[in-house]
Amino acid sequence: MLQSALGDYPGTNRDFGTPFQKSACGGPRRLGVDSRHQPALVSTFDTMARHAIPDLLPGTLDLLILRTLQTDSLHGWAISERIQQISQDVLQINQGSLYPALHRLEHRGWIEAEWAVSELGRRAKYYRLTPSGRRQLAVEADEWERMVAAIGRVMKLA
Amino acid sequence: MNLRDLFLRVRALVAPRRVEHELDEELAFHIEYDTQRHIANGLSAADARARALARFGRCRLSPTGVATPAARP
Repeated sequence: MLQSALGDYPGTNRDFGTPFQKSACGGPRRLGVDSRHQPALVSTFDTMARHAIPDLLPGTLDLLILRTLQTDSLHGWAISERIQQISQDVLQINQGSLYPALHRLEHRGWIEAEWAVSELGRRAKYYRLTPSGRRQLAVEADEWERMVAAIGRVMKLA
Repeated sequence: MNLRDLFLRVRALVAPRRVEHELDEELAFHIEYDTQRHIANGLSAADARARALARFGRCRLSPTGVATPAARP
């Protein structure tokens, strides 16, 4: 699955393993959120079968990444960590989905990358939002709000 | 296909090893950063690295310290 995501790009032919990788972190329940191509966030209810992972809406990972990069230029680890922290550990990004998503967004021109020396004294790839990505974030954020409101109305009235 | 996409695809065709190396370097950095965080939280270096690798997924490091994907089972 992951290989197919990266296999679209010349020079890459990878298999980082199942995107349903068991988390070693433990902790509270984490929701599974579907990216456009594969589940990106996994549940730590590890006894759950793949099909039982509560996927939410397509494109959620892209939206979370774009939103996280709205104000800062961040490397992959920091993007993952920030989403987890802000969601209070409810959302944990599967690393096997994070990097294909970053590269996919880069190919779409919504984010751009630059290598810089990190606080570890080692080169890291930092991503930032492009003007095109900022416009896309606005569109997707509006769609998200509309979807959440619609689901909310159904839940109240159904 | 936009210009950025075209540029990245051409770059990967022209310099595939460089693109591969950059991807390896990016993943290795992720694991190293996570390892350092666990060490800062009190784990031994070995435990911290094991925790970082487990969190990352089925990935191993080559002798050069570059992350490579684990073999398909």
